Amino acid sequence: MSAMVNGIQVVSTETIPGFIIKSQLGVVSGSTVRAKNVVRDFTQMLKNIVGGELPQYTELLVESRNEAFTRMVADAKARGANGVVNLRFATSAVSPGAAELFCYGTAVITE
Amino acid sequence: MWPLEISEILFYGVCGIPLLLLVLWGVFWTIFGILFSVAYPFMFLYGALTGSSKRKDWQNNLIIRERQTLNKAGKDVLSMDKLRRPQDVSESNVIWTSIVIGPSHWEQLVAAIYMLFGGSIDVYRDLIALGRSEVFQRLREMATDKGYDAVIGVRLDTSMIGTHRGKYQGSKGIEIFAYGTGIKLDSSP
Repeated sequence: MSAMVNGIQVVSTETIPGFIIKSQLGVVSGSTVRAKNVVRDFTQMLKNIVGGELPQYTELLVESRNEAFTRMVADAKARGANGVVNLRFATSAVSPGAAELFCYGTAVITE
Repeated sequence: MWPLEISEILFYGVCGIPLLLLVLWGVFWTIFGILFSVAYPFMFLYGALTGSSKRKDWQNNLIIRERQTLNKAGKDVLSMDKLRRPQDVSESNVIWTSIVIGPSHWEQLVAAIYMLFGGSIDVYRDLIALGRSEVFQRLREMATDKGYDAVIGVRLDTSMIGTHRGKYQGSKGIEIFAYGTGIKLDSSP
């Protein structure tokens, strides 16, 4: 859930405070499509009748976002960047039972 | 008959085991179906009766936790008390957190009745408002745990997951997701 993967600094703001952006290397993105596990879906369906938080889904989505994030950071790394600014997340339900988690940002070289 | 010949072993192996599995599968789902149809009304009633008191407990718990983080940090970490120069910032990194909440079947029924007449659907409003407060609180807790002094550029994202279009089957979840950039200030110890 944290940033600073492989020495790349990721922020959701336009600039990295305290650093000067020397050049930008374009948009980098990472995505993952995750389906629910049958057993999990079953237990959460039962939980859903009573209502409240569905902790297994929360966990699943956090895991998936970490994966998308790691892919984006790998993309930035491959371009030789040392920072990503303007990080944004997007979620879309591609089909009932599966969700796409997508994150994108601008890869930059800072000093 | 006994011992079996190789052709017979092959026959039972190929046809018998899948058939046995099929029968077991049917028996399992039949037993489960009976149990579920017996238990479902009780679960539904339990959700309907305890829903509001559970929500009240959650809300009280949330207020206590908000007060704790407020006392710990001295201010609300999700807002800046005054503008600082960028040079004061020593570290900045993105943090995120989320929650998936589902309205109970009782609430879905109430909402469906409300939807006939239109207007504000209070059961969903309360649930989503509480979920937002909870996710903000989780972001605050995460920021204070990691030692950030403030979180800037906080964004919220809400999406529906696990819906079967137009049908009340499977689970129905609303995901609320918050992210922002945590910053550490030089002046802090």
